[in-house]
Amino acid sequence: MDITMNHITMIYPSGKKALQDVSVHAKSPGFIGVLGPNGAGKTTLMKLLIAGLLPTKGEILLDGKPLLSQEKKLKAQLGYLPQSFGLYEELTVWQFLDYMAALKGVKGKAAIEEVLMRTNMTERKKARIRSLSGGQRQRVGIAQALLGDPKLMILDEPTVGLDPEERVKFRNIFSEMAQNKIILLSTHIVEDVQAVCSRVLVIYDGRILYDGSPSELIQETAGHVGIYLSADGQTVFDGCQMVSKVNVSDGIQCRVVAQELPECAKTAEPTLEDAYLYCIHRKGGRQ
Amino acid sequence: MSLISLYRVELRRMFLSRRIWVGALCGILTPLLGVIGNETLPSVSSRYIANPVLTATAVSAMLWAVLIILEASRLHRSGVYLLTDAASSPRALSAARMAAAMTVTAAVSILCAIVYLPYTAVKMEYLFDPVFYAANYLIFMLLTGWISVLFADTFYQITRRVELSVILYALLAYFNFSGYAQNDYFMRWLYPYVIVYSDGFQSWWFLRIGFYTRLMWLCIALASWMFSLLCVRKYEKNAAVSLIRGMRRVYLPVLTVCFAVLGAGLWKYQPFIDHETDSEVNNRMIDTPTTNASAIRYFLTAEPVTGRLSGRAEYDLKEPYTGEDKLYLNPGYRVSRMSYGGKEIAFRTVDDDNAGVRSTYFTIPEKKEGTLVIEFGGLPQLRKTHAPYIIAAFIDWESIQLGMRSAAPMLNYACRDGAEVEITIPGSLTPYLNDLPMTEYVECENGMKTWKCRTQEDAIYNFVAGAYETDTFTASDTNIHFVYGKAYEQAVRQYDINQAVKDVFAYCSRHYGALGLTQDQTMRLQQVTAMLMGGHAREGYLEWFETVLSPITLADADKGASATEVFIHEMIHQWWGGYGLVCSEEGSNLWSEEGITVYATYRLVKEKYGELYAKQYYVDNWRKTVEMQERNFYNRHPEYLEHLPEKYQTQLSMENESTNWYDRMPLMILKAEKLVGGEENMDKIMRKMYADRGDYAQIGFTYADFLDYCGLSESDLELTPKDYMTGEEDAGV
Repeated sequence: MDITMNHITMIYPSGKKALQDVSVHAKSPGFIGVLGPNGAGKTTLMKLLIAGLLPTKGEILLDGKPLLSQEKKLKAQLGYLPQSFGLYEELTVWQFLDYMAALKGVKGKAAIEEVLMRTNMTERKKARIRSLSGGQRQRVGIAQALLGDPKLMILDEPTVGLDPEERVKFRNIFSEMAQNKIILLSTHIVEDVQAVCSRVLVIYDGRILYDGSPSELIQETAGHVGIYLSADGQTVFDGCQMVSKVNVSDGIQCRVVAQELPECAKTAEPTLEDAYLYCIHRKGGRQ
Repeated sequence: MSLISLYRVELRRMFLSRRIWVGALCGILTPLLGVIGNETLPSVSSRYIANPVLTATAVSAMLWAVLIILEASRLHRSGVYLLTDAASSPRALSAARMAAAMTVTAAVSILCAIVYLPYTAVKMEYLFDPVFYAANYLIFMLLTGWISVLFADTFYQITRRVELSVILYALLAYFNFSGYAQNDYFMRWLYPYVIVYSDGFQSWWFLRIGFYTRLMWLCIALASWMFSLLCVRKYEKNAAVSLIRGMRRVYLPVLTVCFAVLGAGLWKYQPFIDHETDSEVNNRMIDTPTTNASAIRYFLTAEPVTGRLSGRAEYDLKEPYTGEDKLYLNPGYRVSRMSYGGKEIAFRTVDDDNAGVRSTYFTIPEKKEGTLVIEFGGLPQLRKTHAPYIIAAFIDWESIQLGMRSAAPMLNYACRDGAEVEITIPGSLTPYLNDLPMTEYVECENGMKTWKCRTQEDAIYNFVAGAYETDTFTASDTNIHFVYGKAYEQAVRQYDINQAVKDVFAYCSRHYGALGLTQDQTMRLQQVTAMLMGGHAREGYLEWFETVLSPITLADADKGASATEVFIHEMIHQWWGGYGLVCSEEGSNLWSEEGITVYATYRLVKEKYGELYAKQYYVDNWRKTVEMQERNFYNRHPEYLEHLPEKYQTQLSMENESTNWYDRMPLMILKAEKLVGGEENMDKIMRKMYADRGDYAQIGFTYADFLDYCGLSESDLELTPKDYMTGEEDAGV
């Protein structure tokens, strides 16, 4: 599978520019993490890719053909988990997955059993959806996205509401599945992206600030991450983006990213989170 | 994924929905509302089929409408659509959901038919017809359910708002019950119009027009739903943009237009009711010179499946009229061919069915002897100004009613030898032509019979056919042919109806004198389908209401002045009215044959059932009705009457006429009875009136004549409050 976005601009009727001249190309196999602050345009990007929105400008191609003419093909190969979604409350987990499997044209009970097992919902398969907890609902959402081993998976904040253990588990499941497909994972949890994604997109204010491997992004940040101890209470320096503040016995230990680190700071080994913040700070012009 | 697979998926989901199950259960209960509702309907089919089915039709249709709106909105409110739309096309899903909803409504309608079958069969006893019963549920409840869900989903798909959709649907439902649609078969999409069902002769005509109107509304609903399908939101666009984008799928707008055109065409070209207007004269006369025909022959075929008549009329003419001549036919008929002397002649039909007729103009080319042949056919139409109450011409499986221009062309042709008639009808029916039985027939291959006879009249005034039985017996030296529907055979035996007929003849002959009949002392008492809402009488022939023999009427001991007594009333008309003493209504809005017949009925009932019964169900009712008439504001203050809309003025006038005939006048005769010295003396006076009937055959027996016979003046019989106020037991009467 091959999916291409060429110079996509998306302006909502309200006038809000959600994406500006965005170009992305993805080919299977590939596990792409999409990082960006709230309102950056991640969800819009996702919706455009599932043909849930029409771009104002630009074109999206699926295997070289316009996406709109390939909607059937797209839907037949798509596993989608939106950021927020609803389920038929009166159905049991099994009935809902059976319904979604039928909608997707996935035949056989084995496929349902498999996703139930993968999402750790086998024991709750006879439970009514209305009786599930928030995390369990999220797992049902993931399960329906996994149905039929789709070639393209678009997951918008899939691990929201899951406990850390579950989050890691799902992260690994997605990683395993990425062997033969394209997975787009939108998340706020940089750690997840770092753990599993071979490629990362950093979106800010409707523009792609970075498109490449996480390691390259980290490399770009080398020498721009610093740690210093603030004993006098001064934690903020001009041109610095605070990553973390930790109260220690002799003051506040601050971790910052900056084009030029303050003199008091010692350079530190960058993480993807540092790199992400540095990217937004530097290229996005965020203060 | 194919639409069929999506349909299966949606159907399976709907059957998993508790809300749908609750809706289905409520839907199954809806006929109960009709069962426990109106109990005044005059036939068991009306009460136990029409009433439950029509109530269920309207209530369940509204129920499904609300359910489909909630079901569709739930998808969006809960956000499930985010998942489903990613898996399948929202339009295809919407179509599948609609197909599933229609399946569920159909299943509930069929289930209703099954659930209520035993109850209906038990209640209707020997009058139960399972095919007619099932057809009612399928045509009315099922199809209306479909129409309803289509409209409801239309409103939701366009507005995407529950409250707005419900309001729009409610407005559409209200339209059905509004004044505009109230008396219109075609506008009542939600609660179909059925005046009365026949028990013994079926009423497929109502199902035929019901099916047609459902089909028409289904096309309109499908057109609107297809349109709304174009508005299904895609790419997060609003309705208008979605509509414009939806137009790119050409088949959807094409289907929308096709269904809209089909619906409009079905409405415009409906074949059941003519297009006459209220202002037109009811009966046109042909103003061309009368032509004498040496022979007239009619060859007719009544087709029960389609309800159509096809026929050929032949007129042997010696000196034909060569100017432009015209003939009238029922507006539902068309002349297909005309010839004279073996040669085709031109004709033109004018679509001016304003007066309940369609005119066809033709000219016979030369004044020489020949045979005029007219071939015609079509579905007999009702008159718009009479619909929905008078269903005067129809062809059904178990009943046929035709007459005048509904049976054959009306021309100004006369034939001294009458006419030869051949008519092919279903083999199970027994025909009567111009009130006389047809006796000769030949069997046809398709289960039909062709009946032949010569009638004294040169036109077909009245043709009736039904599944009849005939009992022949003697009552007061009169040979009675008691003709009734085969379905009523059990009732006739069980309730000894023949004996009741004998009682009436015995009473009237004893009190008023022997009935004036034809020379062979024979009288036919013929039951007619309830659909006719009336009947007629002539010498030796009397039509009586079908419902007289319905189980409801016969078993209802509390009813008092029952339908059996209506039957008695109609028979008494043979003495007072019709071919007995003819009354003149001229100059009086009070005096008619009805008053004296009602009084005579009361007397017979009093003799048969006792004074208390007669007082309770006759005299007290007369008083009550007259009192209401006297208390009516507009009767007390007629100066305000003109401020009322014409419709209400007419209504009041009709009510007053009915009260005058059926209540006031009997009360006045009862007062006269007291003043002349009691019942015995009144009987003597009435016997003399009846004996002198010949003197009044032409001029009519007036109220003044009645007063003369009684030796009373007008003022003697004027009613005072004491005469009619209920509770005034010692009143003049």
